[in-house]
Amino acid sequence: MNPQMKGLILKEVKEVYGRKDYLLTMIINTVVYLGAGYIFAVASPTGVLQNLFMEFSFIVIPSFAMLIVGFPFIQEKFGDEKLIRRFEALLTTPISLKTVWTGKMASIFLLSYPVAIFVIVLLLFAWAVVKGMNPIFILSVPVWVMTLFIVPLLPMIYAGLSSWFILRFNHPQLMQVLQLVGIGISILIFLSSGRIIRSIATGHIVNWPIVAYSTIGVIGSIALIIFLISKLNKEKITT
Amino acid sequence: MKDTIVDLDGVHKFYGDFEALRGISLEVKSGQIFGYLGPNGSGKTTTIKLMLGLIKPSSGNVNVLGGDPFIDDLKAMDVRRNIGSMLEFDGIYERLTGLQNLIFWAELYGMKRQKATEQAKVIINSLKLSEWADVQVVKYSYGMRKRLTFARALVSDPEFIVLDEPTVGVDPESRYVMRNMIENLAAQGKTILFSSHDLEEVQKICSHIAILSKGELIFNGPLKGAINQLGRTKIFIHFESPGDANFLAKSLREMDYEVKIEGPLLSFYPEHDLDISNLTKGKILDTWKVDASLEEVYLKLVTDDEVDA
Repeated sequence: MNPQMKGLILKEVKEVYGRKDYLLTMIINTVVYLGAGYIFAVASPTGVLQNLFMEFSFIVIPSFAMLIVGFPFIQEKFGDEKLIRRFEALLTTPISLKTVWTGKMASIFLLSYPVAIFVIVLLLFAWAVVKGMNPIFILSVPVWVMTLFIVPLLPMIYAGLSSWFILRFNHPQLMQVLQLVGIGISILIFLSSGRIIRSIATGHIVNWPIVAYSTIGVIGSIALIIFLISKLNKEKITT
Repeated sequence: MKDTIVDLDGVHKFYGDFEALRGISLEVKSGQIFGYLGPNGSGKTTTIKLMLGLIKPSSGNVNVLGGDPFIDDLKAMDVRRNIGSMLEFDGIYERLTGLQNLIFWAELYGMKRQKATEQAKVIINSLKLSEWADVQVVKYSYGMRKRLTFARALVSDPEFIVLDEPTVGVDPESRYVMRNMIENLAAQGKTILFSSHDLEEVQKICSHIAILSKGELIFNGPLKGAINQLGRTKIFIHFESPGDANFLAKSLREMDYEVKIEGPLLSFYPEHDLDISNLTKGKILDTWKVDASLEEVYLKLVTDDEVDA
C-alpha cells in the first residue's frame, strides 16, 4: 500500500479508537442489537419461515448498525473537516484529493465494519440462547457471503455518495438531509425487501443469483462514486 | 538548485465576477526571505493558494519550483513535496499529540515511519516543544499551537516555505523562537515567503518585499531599497508650550514642510539638513529622530494607491 495512504488511514483510525464517544457507541450498540436479536428470535415462527426470519436478521441488522455508526464518521471526516478548512492543509501536501478521499473512506470502513461483525456475534448468541439454534450451520453459504461481504458495502456506498455531496456542495444542513435520506432508504429497503426478494428467491431470501445481481449492483455503484469523486474540482473544496 | 523558486506571470484570478488578482507578475528567488504584504482583501491569500496548488489561475502562469503545483500529476506532487506551508487555518489534529501530528505530516510527504519520527523529534526540539511532544494538542496554548503548525511546515525539510500570518497573536517568546528559526533556514539556503500584517517583524527578517493592493502589486523589490527610496527620517521636537510648537510649525509650513502637531509635540520630515535654531522660540524639552520604517513606507504606498483609485 502507498505509505501516504497507510499513514492517512492509520491516523484517521487512531483518532477515533479509544475515544469515549466511540466506546459509548459500542456499548449502546451491544444493548440495542442484542435486544433486536432477541426480539427476532422470540418472534420468529417455526418451520421454513423461522429460517427466513433468521436470514433476514443476519442480512439486514448488522449493515443497519454499520450505517448508524457510520453517520458521525461521515460528518466528522468530511463535513467537519471541510468546515474547519482542514482539506486546505491536507491538499497542500503531495497527495491527491482522490487519495485523501480513499484514506478517509477506508478509515470509515475500518471503524464501522467491526460493528457489523460484532452485531453478527450478538445475533448468533441471541439465536443460540433463545432458540438453541446455531445459525452458522443453518444459514446457507450465499447468505453468509451476502451478510459478511456484500450487504456491508451498502453503508459504504451511502458514505461514498454522502461524501461526494459534502465535498461538492456547500449547505449547512446538508449532512442532516443526507442522514434523513439514508435512514429513509434503509426503512424502505427493510419494508420492501422481504416481498421483492422472496419473489426472486425460492425457499431462501438469498441464493446465488441474488448474490450475483447484488455484486453487480454494488460494483456499479462503487464505479459511479469513483467517477464522481475523480470529477471533483479541489478548488470547490478549498475556496 | 533552481534560481527562481516562484514565477507568477500575468496572473488573474476571478471568483465569479470579482477579480481577486489583476495581472500579478512576481518572482521569488532562491534563498530570499520574501515579505508579502497588503491590506485585508488585497489578494495575498489567493496568491498563496495559487503557489500551493490549491486553486488555479483564471489566466496567466503559475510556476513554483519549475512546475505547476495545481494538477494532481506526478510532477505537481514533486513540486508540492518541496513546499512546506503554514496557513491561517492550521488543520492540526487536536486529539493527536504534537509528535503524532508531525509524524503523520512527514508521512504524507512520503517519509518512512522511522525517518518521519526522527525528523519530527528534531523539529519539535528545535522549536522548544519537546516537553509537550506527547501531549494532545487540545491542551496546547495558542502560541504553542502556532509553533507546532510552524514545525509542521518544516518537518518535510522543504526547499520553499510559505508562512501566512505566522506570528499573529503569538507571545514574544514564540515569536523570538520562530524568527530565529526563519533566519537559520534562510542561512541554509531555504526560500521563505512571509505574508504578514506584522510590519515590524517583516522589517526584521525579510530581504525582499512585495506589496499588494486591490489585487495589484504596488511595490516589488529589496526591503532596504524600499525604505531608502520611499521612507523618510522624522524629527520630533517637544516644546514646553503648544504655542511654541505652533510658532515653528507656521515657519516650516511656509517652507512647504509637512508638519504634524499634537499639543506641544511637533513632528516633520526634514528633506535636507535644516537648522531650526533661528526659527524657534520658547524652551525645547527634548528632540529625537525616528529612522524610516517599513510601516511608514507601507502606509504611504497603500494610501497613495487608495487615493489614486
